[in-house]
Amino acid sequence: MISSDYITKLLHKASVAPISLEEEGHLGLVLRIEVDDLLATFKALRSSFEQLIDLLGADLLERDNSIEITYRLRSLGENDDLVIKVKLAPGATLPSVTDSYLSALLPEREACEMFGLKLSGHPNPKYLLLSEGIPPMLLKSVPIRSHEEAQAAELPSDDLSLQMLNDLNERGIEPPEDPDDPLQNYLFAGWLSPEPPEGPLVPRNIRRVSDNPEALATDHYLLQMGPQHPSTHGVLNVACEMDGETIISSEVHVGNLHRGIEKLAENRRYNQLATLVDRGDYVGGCNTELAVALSVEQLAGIEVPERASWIRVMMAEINRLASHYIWFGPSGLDSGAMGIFLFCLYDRELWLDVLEEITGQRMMFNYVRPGGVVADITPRSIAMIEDILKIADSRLDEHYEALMASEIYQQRACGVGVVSKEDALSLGATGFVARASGVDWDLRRDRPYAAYDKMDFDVMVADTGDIWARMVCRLDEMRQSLRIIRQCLDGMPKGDFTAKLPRVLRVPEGECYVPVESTRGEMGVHIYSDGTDKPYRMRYRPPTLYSLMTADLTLPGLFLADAIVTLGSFDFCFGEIDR
Amino acid sequence: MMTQAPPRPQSKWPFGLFRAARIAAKNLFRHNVVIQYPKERYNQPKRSRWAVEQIFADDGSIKCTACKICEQSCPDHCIEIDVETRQDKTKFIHSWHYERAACMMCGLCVEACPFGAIRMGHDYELAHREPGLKSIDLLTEVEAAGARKKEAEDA
Amino acid sequence: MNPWLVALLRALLILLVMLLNGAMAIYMLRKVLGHAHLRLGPTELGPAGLAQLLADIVKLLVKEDRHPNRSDRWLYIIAPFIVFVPSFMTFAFIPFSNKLVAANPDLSLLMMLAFMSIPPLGIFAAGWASRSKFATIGAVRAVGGMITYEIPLLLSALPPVMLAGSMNLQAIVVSQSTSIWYVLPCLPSFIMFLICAQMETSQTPFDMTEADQELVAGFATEYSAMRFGFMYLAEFAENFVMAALAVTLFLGGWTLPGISAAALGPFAVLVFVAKCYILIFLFMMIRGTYSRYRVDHYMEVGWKRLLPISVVWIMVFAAALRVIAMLKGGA
Repeated sequence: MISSDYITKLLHKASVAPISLEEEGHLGLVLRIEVDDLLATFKALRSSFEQLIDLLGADLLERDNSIEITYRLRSLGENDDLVIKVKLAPGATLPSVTDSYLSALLPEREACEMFGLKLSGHPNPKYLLLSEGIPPMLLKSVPIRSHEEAQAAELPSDDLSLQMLNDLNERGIEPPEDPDDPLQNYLFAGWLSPEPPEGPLVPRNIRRVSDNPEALATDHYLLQMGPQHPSTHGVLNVACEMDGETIISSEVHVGNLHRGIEKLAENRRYNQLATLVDRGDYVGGCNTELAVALSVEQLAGIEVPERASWIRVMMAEINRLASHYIWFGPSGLDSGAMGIFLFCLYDRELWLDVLEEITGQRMMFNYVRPGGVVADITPRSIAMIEDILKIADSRLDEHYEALMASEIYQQRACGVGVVSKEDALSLGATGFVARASGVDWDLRRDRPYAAYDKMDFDVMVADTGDIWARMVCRLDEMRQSLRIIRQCLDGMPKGDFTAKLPRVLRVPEGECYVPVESTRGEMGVHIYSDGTDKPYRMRYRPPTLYSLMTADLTLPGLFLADAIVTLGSFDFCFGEIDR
Repeated sequence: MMTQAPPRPQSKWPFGLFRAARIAAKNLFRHNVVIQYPKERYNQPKRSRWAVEQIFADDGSIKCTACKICEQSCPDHCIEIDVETRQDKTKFIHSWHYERAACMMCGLCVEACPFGAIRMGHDYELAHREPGLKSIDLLTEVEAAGARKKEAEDA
Repeated sequence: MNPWLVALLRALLILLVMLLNGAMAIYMLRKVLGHAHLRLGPTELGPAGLAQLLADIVKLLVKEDRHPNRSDRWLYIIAPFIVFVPSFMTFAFIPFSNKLVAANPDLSLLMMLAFMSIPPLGIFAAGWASRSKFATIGAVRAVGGMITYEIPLLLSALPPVMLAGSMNLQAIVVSQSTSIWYVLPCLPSFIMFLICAQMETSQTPFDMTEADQELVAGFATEYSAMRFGFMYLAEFAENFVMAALAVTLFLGGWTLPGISAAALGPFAVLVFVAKCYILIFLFMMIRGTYSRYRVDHYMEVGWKRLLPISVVWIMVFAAALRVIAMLKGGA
């Protein structure tokens, strides 16, 4: 455990005077500092805390006329978190901490665009999820309107592109001269830095001609592996500068699936949050619902019956299997093998039948709620699970043989898309991405939640960090999930499946963050509650946003073919990234 | 417990290819897993959640008392109940409006209903060409159930 | 009869064979891949889905024929024909039976391989003319790949020529009926020929030119409707041609061991077609199972492995033949 004395000493060495450093409610140790001390603090704490797990903003204008930015640092060695909070005036400039932790690259952009702040010192200060012309969405002053209200209200201008041009003019940025030139017309909207941009808003590092005088004088070209592509999983747009078949530099563009989940959550009761969060990680819904439920339960002090915890563990593991199957199949398909895709989908169908039997839906489960689960598991579902468990392990062996045993795939996957351990840590990668690079960390084992402290399972760690390592680690995760499901079935205690809660749950004031090991990494929900029946602010920490940053780092230098397989191996889920 | 990943396979050409081919041949002779829709239909489990339906008893009576708890619990405001409360405290439902096309079939309304008047139906073939089926009225111009009970008491 | 009329009738007959073969091959591909992947393939239209192809053809015919704004219009229109016509022409040299061969010059093997080297240029033209980045990448890969693998293709076709003593395909088949099928003495050639055949017809694991998961459809990204249909049909035609060539050179063509040509009679055609389709089935199963090679890997396989192996094998084979001839002559 990191003690507050240790932190005080570190800050004293960096001559930083914190506003306060004390335990606050459910959050643990919280360090409050001034904005001007932010960079110095992070530099001081960098060596003790390996990862910046999350970065979020909250609109506290009603309380003390400030926008509060929360950072969460984690020390893996001490298994402890430190929460750092800074308060900014509305419209102020947030200094970027990307020099200390690279994992702040994308979340800072999102936090600043959502709260109307400016961002300085960032290598790429552009909007992440929103586009030019949309107001900072998470401010309380921006209302949620119904469809009819939005249609009835007068828009400032009918033509959104005209509005975008007006905004550019106001900022003194020249609109493109040649609409056909892809470099000039790259109107990636939204500039966050207080200084105006130096040139046209093109993807960073795009250059036209090779600098090397000895090289064959070929042009570099800009290839958009665009949102409509058979193989970027979800609506990912990677703008690559290519030299022939090699990627020189790349920039990811996200935000095509943005639905405003975090804003909508401020208008939903706590038992309705599961419907929103289901649509984040849409294939692994039970894990994300579990994160919400755990946070709310900790805030409200709800005691969950033991049987409910065991059911939650079983459902989480079944969901993990279903999610991994839909990753493994297309991962093989990315490299060209058609068969493995369908074999994996068949196994997934078996598990989806079980999920439908228990929860009622195959994908958007709405099953895990604060207090427990909605309904008990049925005897028929237990029989179905028993049937599947008889064949699942041997079928996993078959999947390995079908895809990974062939040398063609091994040539594609071994040594490609390598993520080093330092990169994985500094980019905030958690879950299997970190484990494949050598970081021995699994939330189910190190910070047990639900009934995981009673389960016996292994955690595989590889040290090469390439595609092969990620495949192997995840395949092993699937085998361990089968073990855990077996233990759940054997040892399920009797009892209630949910605690008795009032129909409208009112949660006392406070903040809470309880992470779970979701299918793609660490997923957590940071809830600010103000005593009413609706959360004040819900932040969804998506594991794949950090995997995306990690993947973006591996792309330069790869072939186009490798890039596809690499991006597939990180298992993106755009529902999470864009929310 | 931490386990270390196994070392990389030392690929020996072409034996890996033969292993993959063996699995392919095995799957060639496995029975297919196709349900020939629409000739065959899939058996849905009891809890399967599709469009919301009113529960009608054998004599056509309903259990809905127009308490509007389902309307409040729907996250997307798909249910709109137009009810008139008369002088003698009985309720008359003019329409129980349901935006079926906007419904995400989460089941919160059914969970919330204290009288068990609605259920999640099993009808999933909801695609239609007529625009009028997008939002429908599940009940029109009926007495709310509580009203009926009161009438029986009076009689 | 007027020799021109005879030639025209033969050409029309060959066109019919090509179209029928295309239909059969497409249906077979969908069914084989379906059953290999635990599903059924087309079943609705017609008995067991046989009319599905008709529906697809009608769909391709009535689809809008779009072309990208900045494409090189003339080359864009011509390119599918550059791919289609030579593939169609190679059908003329295939010996379907003792008497059924449309053109039988002395060097029919050489002419066939020469015609088969033209479609890669058409594929490059298609990709280049589309002026789309994915198409350009596909076109460039096609040039590199197909030209690389043509050399081992030709070189692995040589040992059967050495054994038969002639480049005429009919003569090669006839000489296999007197001795054994050439697959046995020339097994390495057979395997190399199959690998190069898969490359020439863009099948996984060598389908870099139209890698669906990377380049949306490779060189054919911007093609729609019947232009795409032409190129698709040409690909299946080449599939059959490669299989037919492999059967002719290595697997005895239309002959069966032990049965004379006269006894076979009209069944020779069936024997030949059956052998071709068994090979095509093998290609399709491989297509549905393996991952694909990366660009640099398969260039490496082509230049650094297949080419030296084929050259060395020819030398070894020729030396062995000479030694055997000397021993027979001496004894």
